Amino acid sequence: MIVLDPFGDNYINYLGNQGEAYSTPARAAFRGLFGPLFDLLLAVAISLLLWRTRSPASLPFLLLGSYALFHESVAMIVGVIEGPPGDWSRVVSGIPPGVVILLALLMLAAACLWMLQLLPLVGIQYRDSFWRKLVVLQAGIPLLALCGVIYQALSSERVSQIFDLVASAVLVTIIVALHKPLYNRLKKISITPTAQLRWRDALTAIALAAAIVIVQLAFFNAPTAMMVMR
Amino acid sequence: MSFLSNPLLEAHGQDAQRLLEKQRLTRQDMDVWEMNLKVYDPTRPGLTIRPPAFIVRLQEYFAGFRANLSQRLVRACRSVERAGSSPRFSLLKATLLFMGASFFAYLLSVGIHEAGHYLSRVSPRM
Repeated sequence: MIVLDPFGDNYINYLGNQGEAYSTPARAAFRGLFGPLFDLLLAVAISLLLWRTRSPASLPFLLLGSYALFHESVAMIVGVIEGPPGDWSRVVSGIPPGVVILLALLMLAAACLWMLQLLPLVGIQYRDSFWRKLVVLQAGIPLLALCGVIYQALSSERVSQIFDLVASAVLVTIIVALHKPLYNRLKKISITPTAQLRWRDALTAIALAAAIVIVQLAFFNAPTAMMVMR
Repeated sequence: MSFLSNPLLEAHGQDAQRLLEKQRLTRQDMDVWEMNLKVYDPTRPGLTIRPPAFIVRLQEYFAGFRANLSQRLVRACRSVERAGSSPRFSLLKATLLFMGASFFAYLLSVGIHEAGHYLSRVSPRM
């Protein structure tokens, strides 16, 4: 059973024999690795397919690859540092932690470059002020994590999203700070023309976000999922 | 077009006729005035024949109203146009677009991640 909570924890409730599922290191590694690999392959493939026709309207799908790289790389680093029960703690049992950290840092750098390449689609130019860029980018994942913290605090659950909030806010600030210095290098990789923003695109993106939040709350939240299982 | 076929004078024909008779106008004068009436402009000075005052006032009122209305429309269109491209509103649009796109992309990515775990656990080979 998949449990997805837009403002909380996401996990799988395995209803079969848990011991059998992780009986060998290979099985544990496979099950730990399959989620991140599936996410990276699918998300990056979808985003790359849309890359040539990139526009503000397709931004929600173009960001998919960047966010997959972001959250998988952060999960790798956290998995190595914290250990079980994270996905990567099962994978890294036979691999030197330094290799995993290096891979995670490369993925993080790729995610940052990817995000910087997409900023012109939000009407952001390299010569825009630092604060303007910061306001726009903080409205992304940091705001979602802040919503999660408030939601968890109000519903008196364990507040687990503070790390996400701090990490995403710091990462976003680093990305904004890197925009101007990296602009000339970014131009050599790929040039994304600055888009003329339309209300239609902004409202479509908001509608997509609202739709996925409602679907997750309605069909993948734990109490509903339990009722479906009966 | 005859002198009395002018709509203004048709409506007030008797007055105009009386005025013309009183002033003993020649045919030539009438032709000149008829020509003037065709190009009548209430704001132009120097015309000896004017339509009745209330017609002039109505014309002036509607002319002013038309000018005001078009000026107001132009002003409104310009302010909407400015609002759409002003830094404040483009920042709002950019923020909303990035917020919506980020929420959607991140939540979908997390969903795909968990779906991957789910698929690995239902796989019969493992």
